[in-house]
Amino acid sequence: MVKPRTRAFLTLAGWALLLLLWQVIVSLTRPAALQRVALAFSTPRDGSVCVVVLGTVGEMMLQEPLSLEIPAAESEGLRLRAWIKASQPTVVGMPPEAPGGDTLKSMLQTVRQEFGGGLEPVEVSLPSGTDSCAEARRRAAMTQSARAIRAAWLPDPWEASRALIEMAANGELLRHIVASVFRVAAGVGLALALGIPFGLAFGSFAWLSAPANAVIQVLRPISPIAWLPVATLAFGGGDLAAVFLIFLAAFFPVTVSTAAAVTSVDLKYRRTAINFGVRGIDLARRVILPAALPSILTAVRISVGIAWVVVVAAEMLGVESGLGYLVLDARNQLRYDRVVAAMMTIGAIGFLIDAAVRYVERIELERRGLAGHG
Amino acid sequence: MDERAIRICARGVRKSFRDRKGEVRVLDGIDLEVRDGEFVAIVGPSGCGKTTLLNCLAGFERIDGGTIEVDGEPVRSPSPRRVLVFQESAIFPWLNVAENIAFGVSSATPPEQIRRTVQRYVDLVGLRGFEHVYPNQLSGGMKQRVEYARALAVEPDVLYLDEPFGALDALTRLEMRREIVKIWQQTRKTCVLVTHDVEEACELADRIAVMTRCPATFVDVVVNPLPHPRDPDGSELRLLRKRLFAALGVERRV
Ligand SMILES: Nc1ncnc2c1ncn2[C@@H]1O[C@H](COP(=O)(O)OP(=O)(O)OP(=O)(O)O)[C@@H](O)[C@H]1O
Ligand SMILES: [Mg+2]
Repeated sequence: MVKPRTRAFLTLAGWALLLLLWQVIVSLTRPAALQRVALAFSTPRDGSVCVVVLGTVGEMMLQEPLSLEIPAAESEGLRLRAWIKASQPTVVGMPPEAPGGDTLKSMLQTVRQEFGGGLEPVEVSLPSGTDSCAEARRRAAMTQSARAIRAAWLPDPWEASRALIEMAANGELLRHIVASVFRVAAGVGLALALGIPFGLAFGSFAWLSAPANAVIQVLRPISPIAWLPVATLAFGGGDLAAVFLIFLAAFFPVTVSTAAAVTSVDLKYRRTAINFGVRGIDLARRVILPAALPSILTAVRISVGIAWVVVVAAEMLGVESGLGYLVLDARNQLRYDRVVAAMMTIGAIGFLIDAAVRYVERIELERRGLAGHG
Repeated sequence: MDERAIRICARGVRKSFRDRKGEVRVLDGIDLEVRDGEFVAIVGPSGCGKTTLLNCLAGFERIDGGTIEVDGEPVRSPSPRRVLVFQESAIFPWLNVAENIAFGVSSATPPEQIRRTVQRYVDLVGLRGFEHVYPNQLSGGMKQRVEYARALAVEPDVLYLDEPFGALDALTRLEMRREIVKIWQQTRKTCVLVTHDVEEACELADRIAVMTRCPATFVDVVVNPLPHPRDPDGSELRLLRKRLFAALGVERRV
């Protein structure tokens, strides 16, 4: 036996290990960012700037002085145009406001109009040193890394957590959690309300159990997901279809376990009850049900677990809320940080639900003097 | 001769079980008469059919031949008028002591009366203060007491006891024998006890029937009129034990 505190510590250690593993896998597999060709200017000084163009692997394509004096403006504009045409930059690192900056901007504006505006300006402030070309090179490099193209890839734990916090803060997450939990509660509730009495009946009457088993054993292997088209057809998608799928996922395990628990109730308990004249409904209520309760509660816990797995899949079709919908919607927006944030939420809620059901199970069993199970 | 009315009358009881290998004859013509308020013990080796006989007497098993009558009526099904206390503890683990004892009391009884009945039998078996305790917190002996209290609470005419001390340790077993005698003296129920323990039978019963290995019949019935409390080392009981061991086919020096 492990002490509760040690156990809690080990649980946390397990989660920490998971996060670490995640971080390592993402960092190792993340593809390198794609750098864009960047143009950059130094801060205008003494009526001139240094112009630098860096290529896709950071190589220097060009480094030239450019005069901003009024008389030379036209010919200098043509030079700038020629450079841009030759090196094809897609971002331009601009110095902050400074005397002469307006001339630079209007020169650039002329060129951009000609090129159809494919030059994204980015303002990058830098302490201006004595060497204006060194400043321009630094600015170009910074522009490149700030505007590098990253292929969509798995987020690391930090990126996913940021997305999670963002969605939690704007209430979006809560809405989806509530929708999913509601569907699970409705589906499982229905499954218990029907499955337990069915199981009791199947377990009690031998002539019922054979046909019931025949039906259940061929329906049970059909994954609830395979029912999706049928459910959509029958219930027109939406909440009802999702609840139906969850009901299917929970109903069979609950029914089968209840029936099995009923048939394995110790003969001495049945005989004792009958000896005292307790029969029929009374027998079921006062003896069979309590005797079978530990197995039924275990079945409930397993069913809730299955239902939580199924709800996410069910929500990928025909509904516009729920954590499964969130995963799919984020994927369609290429927001993989949100996809993973939704996955984290699914895991966490699943964990909490299981813990809650376990707790209820333990309390129920202890209250009935049946502690020591599960 | 005994003037008391005959409670249980079994004549030529036969019972067999069918399994894959064929038929197992367990009871082969059992005759038994038990008078009102009498304490009868049936001793026999393990597996000879003692539990089967009690199950038949209580109405849990159909018999294949012969008749069993209680108060002149044939036994067809179990009834609260004759309660069987099982070989292994059969108190309900999901009910506390008081609820277990009240289990068989008709739910039509007014609650106040149920409470009084429960209290009476809790006191009789010495479990005062444990009314709200669940069986998993009771010792083996205490569970056994709950079992008697539950059986007695429905005020049956007959009590069948199937090796009631089998699962208890030696010390508790001695203590529970006294307890049974006390209960029997206070309630004067008709009791049929089955056991493989000859000493137990000698200490408790007015009359002891000896069963053979199955297919079982009674080979001897011994009357034991000694008053309680009985001295297990007294000469009468020693002689009685010797006779019973001989009837069981076990020679033993005592
Ligand atoms: N339901 C049954 N089906 C088949 N055979 C049975 C059944 N119940 C009992 N028997 C057989 O009947 C015989 C007597 O069984 P029983 O339980 O009555 O013995 P017992 O004297 O009570 O034994 P013990 O002292 O061990 O409790 C055994 O050989 C047993 O295998
Ligand atoms: Mg037995």
